[in-house]
Amino acid sequence: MMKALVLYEPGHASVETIPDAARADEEVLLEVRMVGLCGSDLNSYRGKNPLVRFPRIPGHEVAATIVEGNAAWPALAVGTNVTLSPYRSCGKCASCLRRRPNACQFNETLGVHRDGALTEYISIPAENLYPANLSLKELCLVEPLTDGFHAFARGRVTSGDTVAVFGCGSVGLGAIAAASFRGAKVIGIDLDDAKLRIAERAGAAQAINSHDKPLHERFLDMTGGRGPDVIVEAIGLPQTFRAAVEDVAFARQSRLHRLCERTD
Amino acid sequence: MLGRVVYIGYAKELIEYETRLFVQKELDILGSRNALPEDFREVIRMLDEHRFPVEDAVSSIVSIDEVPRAQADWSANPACFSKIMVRVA
Repeated sequence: MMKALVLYEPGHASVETIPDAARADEEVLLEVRMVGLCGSDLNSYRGKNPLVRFPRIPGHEVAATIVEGNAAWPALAVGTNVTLSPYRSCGKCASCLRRRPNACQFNETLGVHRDGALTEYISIPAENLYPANLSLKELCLVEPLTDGFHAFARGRVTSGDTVAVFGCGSVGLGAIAAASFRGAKVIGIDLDDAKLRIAERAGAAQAINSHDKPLHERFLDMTGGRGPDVIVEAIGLPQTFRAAVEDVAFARQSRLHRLCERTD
Repeated sequence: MLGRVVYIGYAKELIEYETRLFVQKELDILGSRNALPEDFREVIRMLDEHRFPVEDAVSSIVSIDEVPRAQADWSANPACFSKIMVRVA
């Protein structure tokens, strides 16, 4: 038997003892070492994630060690530290057939549609594993940063671009880090000064608290009057959805001077 | 290239747009969902080069037994947490 964190209903989680995980065909058995919690886990806890059915074991940002390998995947040896992709695509929908499994119509995400990794052991498809010589914290941060890296790729960001990122949570930080890593000039925007300081350390050349300063003028000042070449919206609010269209190059005067007040 | 807008966040309500800006700016408006294997490999490469402030990004580490309490605290005071990590083993 092994420990697992079970979310029974909104606001009610407890540590339970459940049957041991067993390695499934095509899979690898992992000892879970560390799990990161993200905003979607908080939404699940609050009952605000419509994709979650209860009871559910959360956890999709994972650092783990292989304890039982798979003969078909010799590189995934016992004792190797890994992180994982929590997505499981159908392989048959239009997105999957066009090699875009990230947009699978019937995707199932670990800890959301299926039980996740807040448990001592878990069996995971070998193809979802990424061995890496990173610390446990770093392994846990890989998945949340990938969303922002994917957004960076979608925006076809180049080293000459100025990129504004609305929201400096994990996803926004990923976009900031990706753009900076590739040599673009990045502007991070948030209401939280602590998050803005982290954004600067992740590579943002400018960090703006939108509560304090009108964004539109700042954008024009920083870009020679053009506006940012790319705006990444990583908040999900109507104001920021519209501001992205209004402020991106070529820009006009935006009606938005501040991002919305905190909604939590 | 002209302006590009990339949406990652999920909006929880309908949104009205001044759609003429789509045309006037000849915008590329893109959705971005989840990630592909190359994104995982790229993030691992960046972390391997120590280009990300890992310690700053983690606000607390708790044991699995402490998760129910940590989730309740997080829900009550979301601004006090950035990233909670759970040490399982």
